[in-house]
Amino acid sequence: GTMESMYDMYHTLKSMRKRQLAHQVLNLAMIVCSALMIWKGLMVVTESESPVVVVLSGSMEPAFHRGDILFLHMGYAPFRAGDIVVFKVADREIPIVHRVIKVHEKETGEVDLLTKGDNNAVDDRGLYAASQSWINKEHVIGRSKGYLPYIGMVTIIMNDYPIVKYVLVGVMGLFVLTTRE
Amino acid sequence: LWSAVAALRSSVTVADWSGRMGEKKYIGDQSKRAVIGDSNTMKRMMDDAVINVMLEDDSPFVEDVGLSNLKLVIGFGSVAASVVSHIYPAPFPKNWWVLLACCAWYFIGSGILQLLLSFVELESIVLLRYKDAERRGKRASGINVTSHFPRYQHVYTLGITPLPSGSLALFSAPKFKPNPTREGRELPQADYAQIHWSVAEFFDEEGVFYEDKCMDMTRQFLDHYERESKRIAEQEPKKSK
Repeated sequence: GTMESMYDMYHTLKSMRKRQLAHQVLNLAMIVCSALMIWKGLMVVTESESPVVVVLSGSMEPAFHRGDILFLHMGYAPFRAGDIVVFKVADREIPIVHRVIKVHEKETGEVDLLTKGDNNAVDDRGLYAASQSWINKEHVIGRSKGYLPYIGMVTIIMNDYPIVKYVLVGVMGLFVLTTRE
Repeated sequence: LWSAVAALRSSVTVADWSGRMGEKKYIGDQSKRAVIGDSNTMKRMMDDAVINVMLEDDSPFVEDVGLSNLKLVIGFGSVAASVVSHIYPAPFPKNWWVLLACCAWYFIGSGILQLLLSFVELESIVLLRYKDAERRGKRASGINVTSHFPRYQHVYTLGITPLPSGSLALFSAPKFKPNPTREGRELPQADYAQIHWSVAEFFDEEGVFYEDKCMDMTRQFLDHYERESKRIAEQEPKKSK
């Protein structure tokens, strides 16, 4: 049963030599760090602060639904109406995925963008900061390059019920520490 | 001289050893149990028993920690790289160069670790140095103990290869080659540097592990290896003169 396996795991850990335990801890740390470094590597390659995002609301239906995963990149091409961008406005932690509907390019090189969710009745001016009518390049995290449907629901569940995250990580950690493959 | 050595090798078979084991009665350690067929756990238990024998207080060996320390340093160095990449205080995209450097450091570090595992360490379970290494000369101042136990087979092969002196000698040391299996349930040909055991010798039908028996057979194998390698070493000076 579970109690027996917990007892076995405790026993295994206790009977290891210190050096062996150090190697097992290193194995576990390398697994966690590999996941982190792949993420950071994606950030470097796509030049986007968040190379993979999950769509949280239905404001872009029917193009994207809640739970879809989007792959982002920045790129150097100029912004055009129709581009789907992910942007952050001041005071809001959660980035927004909407479509660019107006683009104003100034002589200085600055670009003003207006966005709107496909499924929304009004544009996003109500979402921007108090005195802000446009967003600029510095607000944009990335442009949508590809997508996977519905797989992001796992992230949404883990966000709504954080205990799932801790339980999953805890169990995986125990297993890695006590296996030697 | 080489024909004498060859004759010596072919005369050593597993039967010489296991015959002597019949006298002592062993009791299994009920707390050490594996599911028969779970090769990983079984190999781990047997490896641990062998390592315990090698690192006993009255064994002629001390653990050689060079390679292990190298792996730990490179490994935790890579972990440090990933921690730095996570906690560096500049926001994205200003920290792009830092991220690039950390990613390069991490992937190079873990690449080196993987190379070490795949090409240098192979099946080694512990590296040892003789406590009286000065007397032994440069070529064999230590040993590399390896164990070979493929999945779904019942034969566990324990091997000893000499380890030259020098902290990273494993790079250039001779590699261990387990003797090939034979038809049916016969064990492979043994020689003084490797021995083959059927796991049925140490595990009963319930999976209880007889650690004491495994440790005794390891000690016997080690004594035999010591005697044979000493005998062969004593015959060498005649050859070079």
